[in-house]
Amino acid sequence: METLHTTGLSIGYDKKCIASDVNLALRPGKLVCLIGQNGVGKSTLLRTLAGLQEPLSGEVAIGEESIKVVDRRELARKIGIITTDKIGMSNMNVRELVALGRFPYTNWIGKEELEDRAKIEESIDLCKVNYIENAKLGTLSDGQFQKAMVARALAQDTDFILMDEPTAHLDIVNRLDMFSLFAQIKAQTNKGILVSTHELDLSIRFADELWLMDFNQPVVCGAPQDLIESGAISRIFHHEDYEIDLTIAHSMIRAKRDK
Amino acid sequence: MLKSKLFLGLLCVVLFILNIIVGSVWIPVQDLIEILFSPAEDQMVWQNIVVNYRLPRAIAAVAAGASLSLSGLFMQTFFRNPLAGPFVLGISSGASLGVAVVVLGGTFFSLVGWSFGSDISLTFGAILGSFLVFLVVIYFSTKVADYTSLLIIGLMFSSATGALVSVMQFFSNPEDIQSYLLWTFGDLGSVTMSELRLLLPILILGWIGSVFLIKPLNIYLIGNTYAKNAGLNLELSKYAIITVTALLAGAITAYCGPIAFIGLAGPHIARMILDTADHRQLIPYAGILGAVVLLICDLVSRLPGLPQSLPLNAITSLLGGPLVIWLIVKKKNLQNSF
Repeated sequence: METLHTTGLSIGYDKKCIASDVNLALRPGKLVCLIGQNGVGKSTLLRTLAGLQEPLSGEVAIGEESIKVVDRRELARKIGIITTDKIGMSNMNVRELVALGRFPYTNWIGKEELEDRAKIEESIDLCKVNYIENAKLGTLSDGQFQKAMVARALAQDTDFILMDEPTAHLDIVNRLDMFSLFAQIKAQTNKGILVSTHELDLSIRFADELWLMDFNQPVVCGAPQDLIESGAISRIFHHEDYEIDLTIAHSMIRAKRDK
Repeated sequence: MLKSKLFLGLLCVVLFILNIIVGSVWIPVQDLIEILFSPAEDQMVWQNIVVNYRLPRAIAAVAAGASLSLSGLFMQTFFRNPLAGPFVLGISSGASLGVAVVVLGGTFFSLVGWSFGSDISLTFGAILGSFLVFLVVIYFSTKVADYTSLLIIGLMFSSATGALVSVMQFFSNPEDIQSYLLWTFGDLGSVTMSELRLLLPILILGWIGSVFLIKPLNIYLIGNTYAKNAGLNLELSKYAIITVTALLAGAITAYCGPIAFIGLAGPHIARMILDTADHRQLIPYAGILGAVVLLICDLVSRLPGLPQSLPLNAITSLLGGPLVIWLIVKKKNLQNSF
């Protein structure tokens, strides 16, 4: 599989540039966490990577091909996204939501073929949302809802999945659930997964790579342990009166011995 | 689920037949086939009533009910707003303005040598009015990105055209104002067989278009961002939804007047009964449901014993209002029915 990468990318809205000269590469089979303060441009970067908004300059490409020239339907089979947008009112159930992930594959009326059904079932199984398959979205807890959204993105069967703060509002058990789910998806499907998040501890524990975004600075990439040791993580979360000590972060969360 | 669909279909057929036989003159139901195809000498009067009045009226009720309910459904999903209906884009306001120009501006036009005032030109005015508004809405939809803005632009149009109409009313004579008001009451009885021959193909075109909207509408439910990420052509589907809605709502308004309420209530009732958000089920169900509701309303509006048929819009709102309130109270929350 090819990589999703950017060259000389500037992102922002209208004339306002948020980050410039961004050069990144998301590889298949990797879980990458995008970390940075509020307002640093994490969401904008994700939206630009997914082709939901135009870059100010530079380009996003899959392999050799700029996503600008990729057919809309084809792109929908390459990059999936989970945003922070609310799906307010919904009488839809979880199965129907996951089935919408098959949109780029189904015919003009959205008929599910055998392959679509299999993918939907598989995604529901992997995200362990079988028990709420027929529950209406309006009745779900935040944790259940996010897992259903991941299942929808999985059903879309893209090479890359981008997620914007998927664990916001979740408790620690659900956050752990989500991150271990990401790791499992990565291992089983070899997809490239990019998660923007504020979970330092979980990112350090689960991510293969961290992308650190800071205001007016180039994005710093590297393995979590290296970035802790170099002090890069602490630097992007600079505070006047406090500092963050991440030396114990990796051992804060560990797998149980008998597992 | 299947039961309620079968029941609704059956109800529609029964009501259709009832609409044909009930009225100031009762048609014997057992002779209906005979009356239609090989009437005896003494049945000719009945045949005249059925073929020239009752049948076109019943067909118009089914066509209008289904079309309005569908356009309401499209607008509610498109704007993700339970208050939206077929006329939120200003289609009926445009039609009203067109009709007002024809009816109230009659004096003016006759001065320059044009003569208006027949039913045909009423329809013509309505078609022209709604088409112009449709063009303006399409123009603005290319200018604004978010749909709420479009909704507000539609509302502004309604207010502005309403104001224009009141200015025209102010300068018109009472007879003209009355004929304009009669049009705004909505009327299925004025639709003739020859008009149906023009109206039905337009509506059928809209209904076929509706089937192609199923997939886009379903993905619209989870928001534009996800719709775009799923590979939907947002621009194209926006125009398609607006065009099909304008076609259905505009054609009905032109021929039957601005029939209130069906387009707002039909989709809500369909969603609540089916308890689903899937347009594959909602579209046929909401369509037939709209037809059923309008057939009932039309039946009530000319119940035996009434000297003449009551204004259709009064019936749709009087019957429908309480029904929707009851449904909302029962479901507690309308927002969750999307």
